[in-house]
Amino acid sequence: MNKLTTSFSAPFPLFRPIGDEPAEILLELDGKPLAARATDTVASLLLRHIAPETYRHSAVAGEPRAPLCLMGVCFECLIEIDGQKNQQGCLVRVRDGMRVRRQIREGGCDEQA
Amino acid sequence: MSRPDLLIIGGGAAGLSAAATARALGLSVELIDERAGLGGNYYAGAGDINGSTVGLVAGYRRGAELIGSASGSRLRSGVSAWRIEPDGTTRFIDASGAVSSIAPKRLLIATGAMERPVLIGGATLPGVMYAGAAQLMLKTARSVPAGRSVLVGSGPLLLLLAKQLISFGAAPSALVETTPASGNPATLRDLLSALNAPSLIREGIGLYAALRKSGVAWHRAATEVSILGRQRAERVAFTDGRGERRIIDADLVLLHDGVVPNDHVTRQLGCDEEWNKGQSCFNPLIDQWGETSRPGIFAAGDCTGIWGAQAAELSGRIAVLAIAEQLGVIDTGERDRRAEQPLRQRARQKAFRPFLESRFPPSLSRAGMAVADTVICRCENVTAGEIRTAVAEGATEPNQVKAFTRCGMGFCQGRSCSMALAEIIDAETGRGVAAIGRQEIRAPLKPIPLGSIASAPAGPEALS
Amino acid sequence: MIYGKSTGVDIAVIGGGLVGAAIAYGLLEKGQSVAMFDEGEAAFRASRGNFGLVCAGAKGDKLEDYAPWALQGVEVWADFAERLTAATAIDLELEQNGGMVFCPEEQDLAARTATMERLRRRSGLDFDVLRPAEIARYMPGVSDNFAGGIFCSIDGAANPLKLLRALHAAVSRTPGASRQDARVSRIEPGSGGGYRIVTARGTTDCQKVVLAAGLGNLAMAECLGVKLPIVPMRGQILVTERHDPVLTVPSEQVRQNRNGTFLLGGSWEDVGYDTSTTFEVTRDIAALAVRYFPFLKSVRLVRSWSALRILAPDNAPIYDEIAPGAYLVTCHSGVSLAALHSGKVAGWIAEGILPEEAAPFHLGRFAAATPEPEVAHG
Repeated sequence: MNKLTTSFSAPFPLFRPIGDEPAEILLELDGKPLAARATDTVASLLLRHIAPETYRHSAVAGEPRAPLCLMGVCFECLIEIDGQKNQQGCLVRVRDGMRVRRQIREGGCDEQA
Repeated sequence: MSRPDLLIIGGGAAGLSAAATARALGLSVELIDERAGLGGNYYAGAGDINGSTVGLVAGYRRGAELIGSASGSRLRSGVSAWRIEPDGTTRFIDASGAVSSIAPKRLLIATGAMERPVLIGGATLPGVMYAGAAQLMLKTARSVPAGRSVLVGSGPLLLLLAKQLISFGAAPSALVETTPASGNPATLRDLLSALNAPSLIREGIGLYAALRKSGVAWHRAATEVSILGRQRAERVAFTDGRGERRIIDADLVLLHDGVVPNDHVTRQLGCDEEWNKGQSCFNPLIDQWGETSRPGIFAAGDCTGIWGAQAAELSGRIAVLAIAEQLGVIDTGERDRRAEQPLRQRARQKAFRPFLESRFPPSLSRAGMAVADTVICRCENVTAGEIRTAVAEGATEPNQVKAFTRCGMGFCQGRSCSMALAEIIDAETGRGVAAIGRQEIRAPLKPIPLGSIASAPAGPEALS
Repeated sequence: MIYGKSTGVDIAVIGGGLVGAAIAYGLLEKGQSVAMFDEGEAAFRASRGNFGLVCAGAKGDKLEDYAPWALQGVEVWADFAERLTAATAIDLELEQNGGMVFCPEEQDLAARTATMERLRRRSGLDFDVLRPAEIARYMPGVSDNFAGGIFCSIDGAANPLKLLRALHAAVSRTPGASRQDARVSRIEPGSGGGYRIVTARGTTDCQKVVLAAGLGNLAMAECLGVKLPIVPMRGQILVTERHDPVLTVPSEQVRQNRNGTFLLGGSWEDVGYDTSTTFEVTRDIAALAVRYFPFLKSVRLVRSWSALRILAPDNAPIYDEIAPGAYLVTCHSGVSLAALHSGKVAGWIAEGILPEEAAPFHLGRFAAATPEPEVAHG
């Protein structure tokens, strides 16, 4: 699990921010602090900060999956929020003090990405 | 107990305009939406409007206006309806995990559209998203693709997204259109019909011109598309219009094959539906006011068929006029007088659609011939090959295939796979997707913790 | 026609659910040619709503002869599963680590214990009466917020959908099988003896016919002039998201599937042919599950459904020859009895002789009893 945290600064998130909106919300991702914009959902924040292949592992087959539709339909953005697993990250707005944890299988995440 | 005149599920163009109309008529209204903010897809992010972002995306201001005019209603986002009774009683769960309910006199379902699911090889890889998702990142999170993005598929939204990304300094590295070169030429009748909406035609012509000028690599009439990569999407492979096999690099692949009704709520309610041949999708059967086969339950906007945001706004207004008449707030003559103009305007908006439908038929999403290892059910990892085996063993109905393979048994309850499943059964049996239909939708519409249900109050009550 | 040719067969099996498919497969194994008729999506499909218990412990309280029969069914299940898996490569996920019957209050535990003792004298079925602390040894995470339970070590569970699928696969692959997806509209006497099965799509001539259509048997038996005392009894079932494996012992209220999801059930509702689910029962099932297993509070409900049990007045199966060469097989325990249906019962039908063992389950047992129960027609 700890291994993962190194990927926060991985060079390949899918999105980058535009505009000058400040990142004023402070939450925790896998135990490490992360700043978010007030307009972010958990999914949009992570799409700018982590490599997509480290978003989650499928509970069925174990392979990496990441957000697909961002409109609440596909359930590919499942993530643990404040202790509750399998929440749709695209529907949940970030909050100060929120604890987000990725659902990654032990030893299952390819760190090189 | 909360017993408003009207409960609206969905805070997009149709839901917001319905709320505004209902408030103006003096109805008590509640509106719930599962997303983090109001506005739906078209007006996404409009609820977060601030000085620096006004005008960021076309239509923004109209969205903010709609939210403003609906604000006399009780508007709540981040609230998911999970169970709806035939009498309209709606149970929902809020962000705190509390379950409560509303028993409205009338229910209006305005759950909008969703991307037509695309199930091609490699589509489950991280780094593959829908074009609509990239648009939502732009509108709600002010974010654009960071690396090489490749837009793949067909439809006006794909072209619009390309133009938007270019104007925000994030030009895609390629546009791979799967629209057939001459497959379904628009009929003269469709073209003439489209002339009813000249502004939409102008918009379209402008879009093509802007893209041509941009110099983005533009591949037309692509077929045999798949996405390659190990842990994430790395390349897009396709056969171009000249028959040449091509492989191009990509960090982010954005798929689009049009949109379809997001009709889970009407399906859970068991509303009658019909196969819409022109739009290649099912939609609930409604009358001109939007009333479904369940009396007192209305639907408006793209969840009833894809007619666009302007038509959705009009449909929201029209539905509320009928609701107000049923509740005795206005009489029939008044309803008809007030509905005359929006009905006419809506007819003009709808007139443009047959042209788009014949110009951009589904291409990327056609799953009947999917190769055996293509994942059809994303949630449960069921492949086209497994489905064909089950069909060969005698499971020729969607629910039986679901029972035998788990296709559609996961979190999304078939939102992604149901049409592909019907197409595969059709390819094997020749019965036609309209007759085959889709898997049943059962409560809950969204997964909810057992503890929340166990501690739910028995009857309808007010939102806290 | 889904596959095969059915112009003239030895035996027509009406019903493609767990009962019909098990019997069809058994008949095919015995060298009979079989036409299996499946009504399609219009059917009530009790088999798809099944909870999957392989269970003797709760059976026979109203007909003691059912207790040894159910026990026999559970005893031969593992062999049956092995054969079916060998034929189809489908794992039925059978586990026989014992089964639990929860008793919320002291009086429930006392009454249940008395019943089990009575049945043990008839069948020899072994059981233990356990308190919550002892139950926790078998079912980690269980609360102490109830009186106790009855544990039967021979019981267990299988995946009912895998069983149904395996039976269909086995039938489709066995020579002599044919399958039609059509509602049977009539059973008529055949011109040269036997029967003629009439559907909207055509007719099939057969020597014998097996009525295994669940609640559809009411209409089928009526074709032969027989009224059946069976009624629907609704059960609602909830299924959750996947969870780490915790429970290897099932109960009627909670069990965990091989894939990690939990099935929650246990409602008995006399509501006719209404197959909808209700909020109230959903809530009650969730509340009871959370009462027994508090850790389930944070586990998410993903789907719910209801199915109609097919109940005779004594909750036991009916096996009978209701007209020459026309066999009735109806029960509520399509999973627990699957091995017997595919084995012994198919053998009786193939040979055309119902032995002494079948006598307690004849339809005639209800005639002597109290006034004829009201029978609803679907």
